[in-house]
Amino acid sequence: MEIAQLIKEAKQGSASAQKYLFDLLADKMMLVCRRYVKSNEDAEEVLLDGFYKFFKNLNHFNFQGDAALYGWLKKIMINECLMLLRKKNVFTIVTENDAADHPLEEEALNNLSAKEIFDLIVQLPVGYRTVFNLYVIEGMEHKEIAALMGIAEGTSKSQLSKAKLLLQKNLLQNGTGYAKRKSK
Amino acid sequence: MEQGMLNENQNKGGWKSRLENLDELSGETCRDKNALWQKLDSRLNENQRRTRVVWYWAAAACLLVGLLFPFIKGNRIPADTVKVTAEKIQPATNNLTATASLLKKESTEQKETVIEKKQAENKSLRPLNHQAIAKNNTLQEEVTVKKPADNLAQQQPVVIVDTVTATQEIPVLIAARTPVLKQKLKVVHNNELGDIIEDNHANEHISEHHTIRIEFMSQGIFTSVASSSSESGYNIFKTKTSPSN
Repeated sequence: MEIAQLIKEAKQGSASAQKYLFDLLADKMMLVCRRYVKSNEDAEEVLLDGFYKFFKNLNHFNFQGDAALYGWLKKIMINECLMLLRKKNVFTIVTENDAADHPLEEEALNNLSAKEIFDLIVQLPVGYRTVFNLYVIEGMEHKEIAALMGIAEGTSKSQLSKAKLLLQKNLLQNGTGYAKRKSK
Repeated sequence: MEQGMLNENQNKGGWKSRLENLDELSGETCRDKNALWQKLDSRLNENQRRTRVVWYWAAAACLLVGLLFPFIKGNRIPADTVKVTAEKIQPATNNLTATASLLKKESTEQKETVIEKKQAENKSLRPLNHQAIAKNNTLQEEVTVKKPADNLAQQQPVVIVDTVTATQEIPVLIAARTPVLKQKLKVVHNNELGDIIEDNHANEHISEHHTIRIEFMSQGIFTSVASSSSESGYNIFKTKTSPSN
């Protein structure tokens, strides 16, 4: 069944269409949540909250393609994750001055599998991970990140810098494929 | 450095896009999708149920108001009734005012008569202390003449309320409409009476018996002036106020 048709039926309150959409998008969204929230239980809770909001606000959504739907749902999930993290008061980051930005070894990461990259990101501490996800993967600006997380812009920059350093360190230490390939 | 950041944000074909396009990852999927859906569905339905309940309550409230509306409306006295009652009261008040003015007029006349009589008395008695007696008399007469007016002022509201009892809600209206009739009688000083002239003819004229009857509503006020006995040479003045029944 086409997604457009499913969205239309879900808007009309069809439970089967809603379930179909949930089955279709749940795993993908679970991965997004897991990138932000470490524990599986918390990720599931966030997933449920996100889907609840998605179905509640579906009437205000104009379907313009699969990418738009995916983007909107992902945004909802990220917001829910940030809300949960804020609720848990994990963003107790001390304000820091701008740190020197370390360029990420794109080549090294390009050589890694999706699973390896995912594991590397999840291993980062919550503050680093969140800033890294928002800046590098979601493509947000430091200003936006600072506003979302309730931190200073400089802190966001320094967190990103530290996240990159730690990621590279982990790349070498964990003996991932990249290190192995490099040694060869 | 900026080039590196640009590369980071423009990495479309590299690791980021691979991460974005990742639909599922072993070990990172939902453990029990059906259980999660059950939870979500119950939450959605609960909300729908709540919304439905709110609508039911709203509908019930509207129905109740609709049913009670005639009763609420019935308890209120319609504007027509008030108007009619007010019209009914108006003539009564007018009558009362008219009666009061009539009474006032008569009492003034009566007063004048009394003053004339007093003059005659003064003439006949020829007291040594003219002024003292005249003053005394004037005061007495004023008190006597005021009585009907006082009665009128006291009785008025009662009369009106009696007229209105059938309508049940007018006392306030009546109180607003009823003018408080205050009889203010003219105080005449002895100086204004002029010189006392001895006139025997006046005595004869006054010696006729006068009776003035003033009737107000169901009560009658009698004022009688009895003539003096010619033998004794004294004039007797009597004023009686009494109800007719």
